[in-house]
Amino acid sequence: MSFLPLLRLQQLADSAFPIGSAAHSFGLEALVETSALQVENLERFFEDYIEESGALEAAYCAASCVLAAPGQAGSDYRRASSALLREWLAWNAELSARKLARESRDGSAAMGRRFLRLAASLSGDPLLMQAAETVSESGAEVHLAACFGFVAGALGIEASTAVPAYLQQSMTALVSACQRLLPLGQTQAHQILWNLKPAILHVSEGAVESGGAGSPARTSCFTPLVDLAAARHAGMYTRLFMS
Amino acid sequence: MPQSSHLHLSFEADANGGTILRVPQQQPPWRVVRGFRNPSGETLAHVHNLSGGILDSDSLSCRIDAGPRAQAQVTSTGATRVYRSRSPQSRASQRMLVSIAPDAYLEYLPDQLIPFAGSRFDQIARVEVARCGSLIWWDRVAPGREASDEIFRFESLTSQFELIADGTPVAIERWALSPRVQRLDSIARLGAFRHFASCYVCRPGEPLSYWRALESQMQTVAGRVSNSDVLWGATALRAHGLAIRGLAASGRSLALGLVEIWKAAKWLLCGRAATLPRKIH
Repeated sequence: MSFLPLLRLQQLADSAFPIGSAAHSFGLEALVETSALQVENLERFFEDYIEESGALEAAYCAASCVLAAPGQAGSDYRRASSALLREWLAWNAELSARKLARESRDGSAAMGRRFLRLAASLSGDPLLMQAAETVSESGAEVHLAACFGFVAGALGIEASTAVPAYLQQSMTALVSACQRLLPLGQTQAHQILWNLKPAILHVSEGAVESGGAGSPARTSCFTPLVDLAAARHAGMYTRLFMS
Repeated sequence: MPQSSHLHLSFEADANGGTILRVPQQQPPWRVVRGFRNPSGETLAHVHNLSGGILDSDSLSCRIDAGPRAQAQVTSTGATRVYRSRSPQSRASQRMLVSIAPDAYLEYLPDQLIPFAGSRFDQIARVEVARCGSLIWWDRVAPGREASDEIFRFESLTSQFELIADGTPVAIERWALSPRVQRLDSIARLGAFRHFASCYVCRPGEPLSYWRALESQMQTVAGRVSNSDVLWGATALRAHGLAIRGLAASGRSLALGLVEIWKAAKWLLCGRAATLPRKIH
């Protein structure tokens, strides 16, 4: 792979990429409020979170990346890309149904929509332009994990690179949210992110292996306490985050 | 060899506003005796498992159809016990296919699932609700036989649940638990809780604003029945429904909360008082 796609990936995965990721905790704020989540158990929490939620998002990211890879649309580009987009939107609908908590689902969809629009506009890639237009016209929910994979695939980045990059940026955003919720210092936060790399790689490898096999629907995810906290977040009296 | 057993329940509205239960197919260990009219207007069916639990060779399937305008309540006669599996190849399974027609109403209120030590069990449920059909569905899972100190000592438990409303997937759960290799007490999973429950409320056709309002009302109920032993939360699905989830340290507190959640949801959804299936009295 040349350096250009990697540089682009670095920009897309940067926490400064303006998609609103700093506004969401995806249930962590409510977990902190109940004192279930504390600095002491944070690293262990994220390891397990990556095994569950991370694996689910990685599966949709990997499958979307493979789907959008150059060559998938074939020679009759417009027709093939429409079929490809239909399949991708169906996966997004499926992912919406798997995200039970409304605020977390809405947050993921808002970030996904912004990410896709911005990446399409920056790159001018015809498939991404068509995807952004289709999403805008239909009002379909598209999630960040799926959008990240789709954009990476369209830009020629392989799933084996895109998926860990997605999980890395996703974990960075969540650890950053914890810095605002808990007495967690910069050094400790970065130590946690450093220590999470093997878990990120392990889950990414699993997702990439099954990512070419079509729908990522078979991936399992068991996070009842996080889901419950995310549902209760909507009723919290004072909050820092939108989810 | 897996032992396949099928059960088919069909609820049909009659000309007098009542609902008739027909049982086109039932094979042991499934057994349904007859339908009972309950005070809130539904026809109640008790689903028995004559072998007392699910054996590792069981491959059970159950189909429930609620026809147009039928009003139905389905429950079990006791906890679903999943017995020890003799080998990794011996996995018990239960598959449910449920359809709810326009203007029909179905409540599915089974007792808790208890996976015994060493058990291997896969459960699959697909529920299709037509426009203007209504559903309240709950399920509860215990960590094992607590009185025998069996806490998360099953080998594996998997679940797939799909709720399709007016042809659209609105809720999908797919999980796999293997306590030997997973930290179930992780904050990312169950934390300090051992029992978990889900309740789904669905009626395709209502606008999102209806579900947002119902979410807010059910959150109030969820807050009321939550305490240090049990935690509840309610949230609107992407369309056509609501999910309510509970986690508890004890099965009893989860069951008590679930009944309160169900009563409130039924009143808000249908304007009818909930009647507990008779066996619980």
